[in-house]
Amino acid sequence: MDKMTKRKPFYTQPGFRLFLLILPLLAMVFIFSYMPLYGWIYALFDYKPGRPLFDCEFVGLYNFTRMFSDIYYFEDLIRVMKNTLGMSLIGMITSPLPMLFAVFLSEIKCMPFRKSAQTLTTIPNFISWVMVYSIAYAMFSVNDGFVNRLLINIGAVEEGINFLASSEHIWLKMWLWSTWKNLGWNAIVYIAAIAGIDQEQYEAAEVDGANRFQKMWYITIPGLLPTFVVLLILSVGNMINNGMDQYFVFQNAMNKEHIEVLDLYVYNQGMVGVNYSYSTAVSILKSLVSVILFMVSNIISKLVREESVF
Amino acid sequence: MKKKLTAGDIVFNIFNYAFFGIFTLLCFLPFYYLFINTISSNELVTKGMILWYPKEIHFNNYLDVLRLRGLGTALLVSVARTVLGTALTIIGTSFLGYALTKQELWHRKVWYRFVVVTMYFNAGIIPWFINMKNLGLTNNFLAYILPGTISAYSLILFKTYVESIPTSLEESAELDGAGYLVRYANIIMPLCKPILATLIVFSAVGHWNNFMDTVFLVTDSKLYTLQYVLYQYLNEANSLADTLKNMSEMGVQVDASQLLTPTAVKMTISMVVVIPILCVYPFFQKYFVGGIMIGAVKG
Amino acid sequence: MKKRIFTLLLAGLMAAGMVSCNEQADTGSSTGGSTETTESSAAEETADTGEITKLQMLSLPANFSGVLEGWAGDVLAQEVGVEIELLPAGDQGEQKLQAMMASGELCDLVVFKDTKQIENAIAGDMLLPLDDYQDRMADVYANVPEAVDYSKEYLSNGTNSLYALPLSIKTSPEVAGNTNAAPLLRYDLYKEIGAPDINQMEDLLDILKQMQDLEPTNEDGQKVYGLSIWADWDRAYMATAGFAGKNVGVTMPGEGYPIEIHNNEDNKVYSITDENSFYMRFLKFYYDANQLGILDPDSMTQRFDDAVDKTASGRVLMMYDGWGTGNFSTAERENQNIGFARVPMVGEIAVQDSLQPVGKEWRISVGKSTEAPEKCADFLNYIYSFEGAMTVINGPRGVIWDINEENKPYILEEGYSYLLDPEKELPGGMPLSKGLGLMNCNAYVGAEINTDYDTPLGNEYWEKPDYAPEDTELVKTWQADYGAKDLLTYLNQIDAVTIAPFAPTPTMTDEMELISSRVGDVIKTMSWQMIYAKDEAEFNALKEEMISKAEGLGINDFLEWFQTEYEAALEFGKQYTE
Repeated sequence: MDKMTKRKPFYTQPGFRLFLLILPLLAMVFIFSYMPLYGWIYALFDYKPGRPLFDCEFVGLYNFTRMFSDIYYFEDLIRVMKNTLGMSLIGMITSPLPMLFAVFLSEIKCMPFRKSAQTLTTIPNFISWVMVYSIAYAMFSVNDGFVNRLLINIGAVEEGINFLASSEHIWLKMWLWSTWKNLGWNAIVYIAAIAGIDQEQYEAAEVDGANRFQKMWYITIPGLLPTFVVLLILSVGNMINNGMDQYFVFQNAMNKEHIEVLDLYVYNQGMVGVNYSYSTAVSILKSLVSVILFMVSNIISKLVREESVF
Repeated sequence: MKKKLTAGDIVFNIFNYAFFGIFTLLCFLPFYYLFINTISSNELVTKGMILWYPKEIHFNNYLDVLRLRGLGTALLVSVARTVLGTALTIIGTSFLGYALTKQELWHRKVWYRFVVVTMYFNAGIIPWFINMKNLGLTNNFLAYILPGTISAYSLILFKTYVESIPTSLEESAELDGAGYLVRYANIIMPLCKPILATLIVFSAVGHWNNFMDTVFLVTDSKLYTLQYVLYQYLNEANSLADTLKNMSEMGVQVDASQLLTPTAVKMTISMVVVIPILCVYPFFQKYFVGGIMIGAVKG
Repeated sequence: MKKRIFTLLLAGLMAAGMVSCNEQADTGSSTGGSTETTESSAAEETADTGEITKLQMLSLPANFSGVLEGWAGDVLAQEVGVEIELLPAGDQGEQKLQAMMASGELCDLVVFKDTKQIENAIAGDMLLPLDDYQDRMADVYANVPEAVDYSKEYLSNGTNSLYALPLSIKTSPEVAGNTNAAPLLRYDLYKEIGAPDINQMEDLLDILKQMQDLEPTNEDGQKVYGLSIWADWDRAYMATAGFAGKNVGVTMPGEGYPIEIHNNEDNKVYSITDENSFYMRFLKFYYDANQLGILDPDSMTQRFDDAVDKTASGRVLMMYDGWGTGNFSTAERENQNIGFARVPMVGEIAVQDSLQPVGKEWRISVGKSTEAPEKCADFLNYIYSFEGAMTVINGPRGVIWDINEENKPYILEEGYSYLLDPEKELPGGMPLSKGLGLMNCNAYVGAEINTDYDTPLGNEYWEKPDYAPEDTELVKTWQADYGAKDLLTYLNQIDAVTIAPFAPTPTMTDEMELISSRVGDVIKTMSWQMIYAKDEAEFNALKEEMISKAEGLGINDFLEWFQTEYEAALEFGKQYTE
């Protein structure tokens, strides 16, 4: 590149022509993702939708400092962060699962079985969390739950067990639900990646007498690792953004202490505009922390594996 | 060239089939349960009498949903937005992804970061709405498809995939004098079928299921999407609860209507949402199940 | 500034006379000077030629969206010349309103749910001052002059214009009816255990226990519980308490206010975390119920719909209101003397809802950006006219009801068939339940007197014609047992009911709104934990923790603020009732 710049002005280089080709696409990103960010200014005011912004009281950084100076906000924040990070960590530890799912699925040689398993395991992804809760209720409620009825019928328990209202193992339960809903779907990327692996490698390995596990370990998994690493880095950035839908539908008084994650907290606090500016402030901080986490994990990956997303 | 299975292979197969069998069943059973509940007598459903198989089969729940006003137009709008929106997302995202793999791209890293970082922030509904309104994207079909032109997540997946393709193919084309667009269309895209199929499925499902943009941006009933119409109907069923509450606050005594059971509506709509996806999905599946890539890179 | 609004109201009282003068002055200037009215005369002409104007309405309380069709559409087209399209509210309503407000433009008609939204909309110059259209809204000005004055004075950010019309106006109390001043019990079982007197709320525990033991499962063999409640209505506390309170003389002013008013103690205001509060008594009641095994263990995780379904299939023995009880108490069952009936607590003083001479918090406004302000005014005028209000409440005239020779409204014979079958289609299409009521913007409550006929607007208060369906056995039994035709009549006979005084609920300041949302978050969570506590010790420990947290978050500041504001509001309310 250095040599090139000496020879020609930058705007005649192919690299710049390519830039001009993608410029409209970058403009789209700017228009739809960056332009709305002016809304962050609301965090500096005591904003109420409807009132002109400059009629609202300017409060400076109060919405930010308040998170730490007010003991109740602070205690909440600590608890909420514990839940957020705890559940994200479980998610991260189990993040190879979709990859393994894809690898083992591809070991199934009976095509009709493989195809139907692959299709049917993706269906839970298509329904909303609200609906998932309805299913959970139908399965686990004390009086009408399928599971409790079954347990009572076979005499395993006398009184129904209150699965949904118990405060035990919430993180684990939430993980199970999200695995149920997403595992098959998340495996799609890896299934596609397996399809992209050069078949000659397998043939060559077979000639060398490699068995099934050796092929998996030395060919399939290394072929999937780039995708896996990229997704892992992305998920580190999303460590504090675990969304709220799932936790919102499953939350109740008994499990709230352990289920309230950052996104849900922001919603519960800023409920329809009562505390709009405060929740904007929290989400600004959240964005900043996310970007930093993402960058850090990217750097680590660069050092360890010499590949990175950026 | 059939080979003899070793004992290890057999044990492995048993466990493998058992695992996928059970997991598939777990994923599928709740839907079976929903389905038999939507076609059984609503009264028995309310009483929780339907467990393993349907009783007193009827299709009124489905007929009710199909009778919804504007369902035809809504279906057209949904299909149009899904097809056009997905096409735009795939073309925009894959071209940008391809361009970002080129070392010579002017300030490549800056633009890549510029796009990827958008995954991590979100301005909130109000600024988003005002922005869309200022752009004239209210009551406008383009509001469905333009904002999705670039998906950062898909872009990363696509770029990663392209980087794993040997560069030899493209280099020879470059020597023949092919420009970026030609190389992208004639060489890269055909090699990327599996990942494209994946991204198409991701994007299409996203478009198909999205109704929040309709809620906020559209008031013209000609532009309602299928999901939105169904969602309205769902809301209406749920409204039973609120109506009863309001009435009692006003001192009027009312009783829950006997015919509208929100549960039945909810279950039926979930089925209606899932069924079209299940019909289309297998067509894409063939692109990423099975090694269609055999020999593709030989050149 | 808003903080002191109700103290200012006191001063406002004296200006009452001036207000009406201003009103006349306003109309004078508007008819003369307004360009808007002259500009849109073209629109007026098209309306006269029978063209239908489409108006978009965002009604936050409504749950229906789409164009009003069928008989309701016909009525609006004929009487007002408009077509109403409801924008979806439901779950996204508040957010949608916020987004519209932030963009500075509302739709043609908006039904707000709270005063702050109106204040913000006026501040953003998004509402149309209705004074200019006074000549088109004769019925509004004639029928609800007090509400109009009130709105000009207190809902105009000091501009003295008319921006919002209050809904659910009620200037005369109900005199009869089965109101929610007592809970609905399974009357057959209650009689079977000997119909013991209920002197206080806590007596219900033993009664429900006995009833549940008598009928442990329903016809289908499903387990029956005395009580079954739900959590999805909770805001600052368990919403069930608001309904339970009415039975024992306590009003909870709003789901966002952690406050209760003891109407039976001279309207004293308590914080709900007070040691002597009704709310604490309520929590103890449900804790005891759970210990006795008469509280449905699904209560915390189920939703309202689930509880209604259970009630409808006979799995619940008590409800605070009609929710699902009517589905169980079918005419067939009631004629076998099985079903739900209101059982008064003879030792408690129940409370009857207050008058609402200036409506409740729900109010309707016209967006400034509307292209058809005249049509909006016509629409408002129609729903505030008595004829229009009777149609909104009862259904179309000539099909459901009519006026007899004695100048009284009555239900037509055909009308009963529609009233009894909520899904039967009316001429013009759509059943009665899918009519004008879908907008959820009733100008008056059913008990309000229509001065044209000197009769309440709602048909449940009208005299019954000979062909009216006969009372069921259960109703007759109840009437014989209590020697009264309905609950309110009985409570008045034994002097066990008091009417809550009228006082507009104070609008929360920003600061109070914040306290209420934070305090509420703690209270509604811990309340459920208390109810399901393992033992008394855990119950008390949780109670202490809840109280100390609520106090730390400022519930006492809220109480103090509310007490001051409420006193002023009570004083203010007197002018309407004395």
